[in-house]
Amino acid sequence: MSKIGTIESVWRYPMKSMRGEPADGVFVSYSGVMGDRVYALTSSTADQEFPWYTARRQENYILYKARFKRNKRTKQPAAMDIALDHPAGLNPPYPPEGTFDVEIETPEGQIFDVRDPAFIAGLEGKYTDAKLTLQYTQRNMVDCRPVSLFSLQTVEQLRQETNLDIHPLQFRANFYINWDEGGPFYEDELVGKRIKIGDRLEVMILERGYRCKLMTIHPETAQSDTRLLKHVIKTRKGMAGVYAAVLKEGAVSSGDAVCIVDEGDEAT
Amino acid sequence: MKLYPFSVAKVINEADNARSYLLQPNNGALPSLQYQPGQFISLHITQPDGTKKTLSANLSSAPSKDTIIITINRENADDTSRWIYNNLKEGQQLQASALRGGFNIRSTNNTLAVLIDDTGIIPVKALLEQELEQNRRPVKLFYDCKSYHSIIFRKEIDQLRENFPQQFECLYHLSLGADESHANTLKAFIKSCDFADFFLCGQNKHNLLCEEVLTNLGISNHDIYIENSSLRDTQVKRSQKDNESGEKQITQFLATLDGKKHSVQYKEGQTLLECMLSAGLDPYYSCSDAHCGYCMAIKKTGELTMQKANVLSDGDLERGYVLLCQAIPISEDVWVDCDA
Repeated sequence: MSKIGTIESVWRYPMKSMRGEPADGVFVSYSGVMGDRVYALTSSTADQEFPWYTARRQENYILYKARFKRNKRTKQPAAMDIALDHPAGLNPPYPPEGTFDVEIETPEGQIFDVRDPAFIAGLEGKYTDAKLTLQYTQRNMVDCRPVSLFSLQTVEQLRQETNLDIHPLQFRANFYINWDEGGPFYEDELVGKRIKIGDRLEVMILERGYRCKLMTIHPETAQSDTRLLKHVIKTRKGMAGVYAAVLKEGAVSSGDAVCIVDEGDEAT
Repeated sequence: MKLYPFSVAKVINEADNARSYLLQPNNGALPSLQYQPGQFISLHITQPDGTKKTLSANLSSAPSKDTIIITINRENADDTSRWIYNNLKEGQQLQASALRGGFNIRSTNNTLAVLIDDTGIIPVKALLEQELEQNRRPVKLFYDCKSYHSIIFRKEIDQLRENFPQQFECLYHLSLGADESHANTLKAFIKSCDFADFFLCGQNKHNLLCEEVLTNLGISNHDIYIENSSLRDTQVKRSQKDNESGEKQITQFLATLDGKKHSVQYKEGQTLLECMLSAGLDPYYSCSDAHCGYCMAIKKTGELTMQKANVLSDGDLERGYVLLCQAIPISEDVWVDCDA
C-alpha cells in the first residue's frame, strides 16, 4: 500500500445544487457519502432523464444553504462499527428518515424547513414557471457515480491556466485531496486503481468526471463565467476530477491518508 | 456527446419511398435498449470520401421490442435522409448517440385520437403499439397518405386492427391534394371522437390543417398536442409558416469558431450544431440535449428559437447565450460566437 496524498476536506451537499457543508467523520456507504444529495427539487419542465432543478437554471440557487438540523446524527449510522466489524461485513442501517431533516437559508437570510411549502413557493413564479417538487431519499441523488474526488493541485493548475478566480467548491466534489507528489490532474492517472482512504474506506476510481455549466458558477458570488467550461472542454475534453464507486464502506475525515492498494496487498 | 458503434443488421422496404433500418449496437455497446415512443437517435456516418453526415432519426420500433429501428421516408426528406435512403446497406457501420427526446402526451382514460400524415407515422407507430398493448384507452388513427402504396406500416397497422378490434380504429385518407375534401373528412373523423385527446404528428401543412379544423370545432387547446415530424419544434412551425407566406427561406448563418468567422449553410429543420457539423466544423458540444452547456454561444445578431434551454438561466438568456444544439434560426442575419 503506497500513500499518495491526504484528504484536505470532505464535503456533502444535503440539497442537490445548493451550497454544501464540510462533513468530517462522515460515513461513506455503497451509495455515497451519508447525507449527500438526499434532498433535491425536480422541475416539471425538465427532461425525464435529468429532472433536477439546479443552479444552472438559477445561479443564485447555489447561495442557498441547506443544513441538517441534527448534523451529528446524520454523519454515521448508530451501529456503524459493530456492523462493519461483523464477520459478514454488514451494511449498517441508516438512521430513520426524520434524522435527516434539513433547514434552508435563502441568500436573503430567510430560514425554511425544507418541507415548508413556502420554500418552494418562494422559487416558483420568482425564478421559474415550472412546478417544483421536493424529492427525498436516504441514499444520494448523485448525477453520475456515488463519490467524486478532486485535487487541490488541479484547482490551482486551472487557476493558473485560466487566470480566473476559481473556488474549489465549483467542482462540487465530495473529497478534496492534496497529493504528496502527484501534480495537477494526477487523479486522472488513478482511473482503474483501488484507493484506500482512512482506516476502512476503499473506492475504485471509475472514470474522469464530465463537467457541465455548474462548474462555472462561483459558490460565494453565484457569478457564472463560461471561460472555465470552454477551457476545460478545449484542453481536457470537458473532463476534470474523477468519479469513484465504493468497494468497502467506512468513515472519512480531513487529514486521512489516501493510499493506492497495490496488487500484492492483502485483500481486505 | 458520447457515441456508440452500431451496425445495420437489416434493411426493410416498407412502402414506396420508405425504408426501415434495423440497427444493432455492437457487442452490447449500449448498456440498455430501453426507450420511449417518440425518441430519436442522432446518427453519425462517415462516407467513403471521409466527409461526415449527421441525422436525427425518429425510432419506429416499439419499446417492448429488443431492437432499434429507424425509418426513412424519402418524400420531402433532406439531403442526409436521402443519402441514407440511397446508400445505407446491411452490414454498414455507423455511430449513434444515446436515445433522446420523447412525446409529451398526458395519460388519461380519454380516447387518444391520432392525426398523422405519412411522415408522422414513423414516430407514432411505436406510440400506437405501446398504447394498445399497455393501456386500455381507445385509440383512433386518422392517417393521411398520398396513395395506397405509400402507406408506411400498412401491414402492421392492419394487424393492430385485427388484434385490438374493440380498442383500435384506423381511417386511411388518400389525399389527392384537395384541401376542402381533406378538411371535410377530417372534420367527420374528429366529430366521431368523443372525450378525446388529440395528437397531431406530421409535417407543418398537415398539422396546421388539423389544428384549424379542431379549433373550428371548438376543441380546447388543452386537449391538443402537436408534434412536427420534421422539425421537432412547435416554435419552428411558426417560422416555417412565415416562410410559406412569402418570406425568404433561411439559407445560411455566420458562426465564429476559434477566432475565425464561418458562413455555414443552413438546412431547414436542423439545429445550428447539426449544420456546423455537416459543414465539417468542430464546435464544442457534448450531450446535444440542453443539459451540459458545452455548446453555449453568444448570439451576436439575428433571431433564433430553441426547443429547450434547460441549462441556461435567465441571466444567460439576457446576455445572449444560446445552445447550438437547440438553436434554429428564424431570421436571415444570425451570427453566433462560439468562442464567447
